[in-house]
Amino acid sequence: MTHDTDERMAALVAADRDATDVPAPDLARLRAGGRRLVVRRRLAAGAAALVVVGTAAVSAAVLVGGDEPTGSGVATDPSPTPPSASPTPTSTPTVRTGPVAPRPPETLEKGRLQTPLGYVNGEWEAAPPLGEVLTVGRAGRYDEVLYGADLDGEPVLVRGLRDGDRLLRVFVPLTPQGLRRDDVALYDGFLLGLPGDPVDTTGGYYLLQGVARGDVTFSISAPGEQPRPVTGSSTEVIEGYTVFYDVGDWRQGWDPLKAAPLTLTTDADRTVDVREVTYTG
Amino acid sequence: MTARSTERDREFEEFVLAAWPRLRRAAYLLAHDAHEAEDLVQTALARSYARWGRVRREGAYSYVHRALVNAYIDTGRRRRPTPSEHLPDAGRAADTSVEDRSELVELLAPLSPRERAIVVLRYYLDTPEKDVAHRLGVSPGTVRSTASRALARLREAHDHTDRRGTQR
Repeated sequence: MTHDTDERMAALVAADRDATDVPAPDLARLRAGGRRLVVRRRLAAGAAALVVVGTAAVSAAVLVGGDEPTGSGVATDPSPTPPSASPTPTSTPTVRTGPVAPRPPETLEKGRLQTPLGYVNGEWEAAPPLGEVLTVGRAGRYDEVLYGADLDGEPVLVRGLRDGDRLLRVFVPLTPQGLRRDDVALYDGFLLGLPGDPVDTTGGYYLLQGVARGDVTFSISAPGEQPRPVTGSSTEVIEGYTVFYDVGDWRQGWDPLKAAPLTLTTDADRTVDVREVTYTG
Repeated sequence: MTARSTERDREFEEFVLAAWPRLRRAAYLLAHDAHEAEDLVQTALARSYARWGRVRREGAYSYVHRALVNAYIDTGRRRRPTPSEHLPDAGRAADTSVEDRSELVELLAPLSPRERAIVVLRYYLDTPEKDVAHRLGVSPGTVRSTASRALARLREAHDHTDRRGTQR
């Protein structure tokens, strides 16, 4: 049977033909897409360190801004100090800001920041973020941040860099509008921190970001491990939603081409298989 | 742009141009939709470019084939459930405006995303059976039986069509 199957399948494949009547590949677009991925991976490179310094970084930000609005909308560079505490996850918010006036994205000024990992392109935010700015990593002199912004009247979650009192919008990983109750939208969670497609994933890590409607408490677990709180979360980033992120070591044996095999659980006992939901662009 | 990155881009472009027709067709066989196929290939190749140094050493074709199938399976997982009254005809290709129909397309049409991935990866992209099984988390027996069942279903469909033709 096997031989027959192989022969028949080989005949079907031979009778098929490659796509010759489709448009030629857009090489510039492919390279641009690849470079964006490199930038995103590099952008996330600071996050591994932040697992350790996260508490200190957040504390510094709270010292600067606390829960009170700042005039400029974002905190000054919190300059995280070396870790003085255990890497216990924290969900403390960083900075709270006022509402944002809608502004079409095409009017945003292009910007570029030089980091030790290369130039990062984006657009400078012209309006304050919708709410808190969560620091999820560090890229040289700049904080890598998650914040809410208005895109054509729709609230979106933005990954960007903070340069002093300015925010550079780098990309939009998630758009929470339309999420139903109990839905969880996820982005990334793939292997970061190592070049290429490594066989040995020692030293690698993941950075998962997500959003859900309402006030939700998340815990997360890897196979064979006890659930723990996610690294950070806040209900103040985008009104009506909980935004969270989680950073962790890439365990040996996890497939480097797939997302981390994590299970996310909400306080309403909703369980989400991260691999089933997350994506990367 | 440095000489090194220029060289990297040149190698990548050569690879894309060589791999494109088969990769694009493989994507269509998986997705049965020209636009989704385009997106899948773009995703797989962009991931390859982002890791090109390593991809080149490990085997670019093998990497990009896996990336394509992973992207297809991941895309399927992210789709929200569609109300049953809006489901397209399961046996019909979603978009045949650009891609030709073929027996292979017909064979794959009724299969689940995972079954399509198994057949395309094993037979169209010529991936060793044990690698397909490992990558997709199934047994080698499942790889074989999936193709065998699909062929049987295709034969049955052809027999049915032939009988209907004879009756007319």
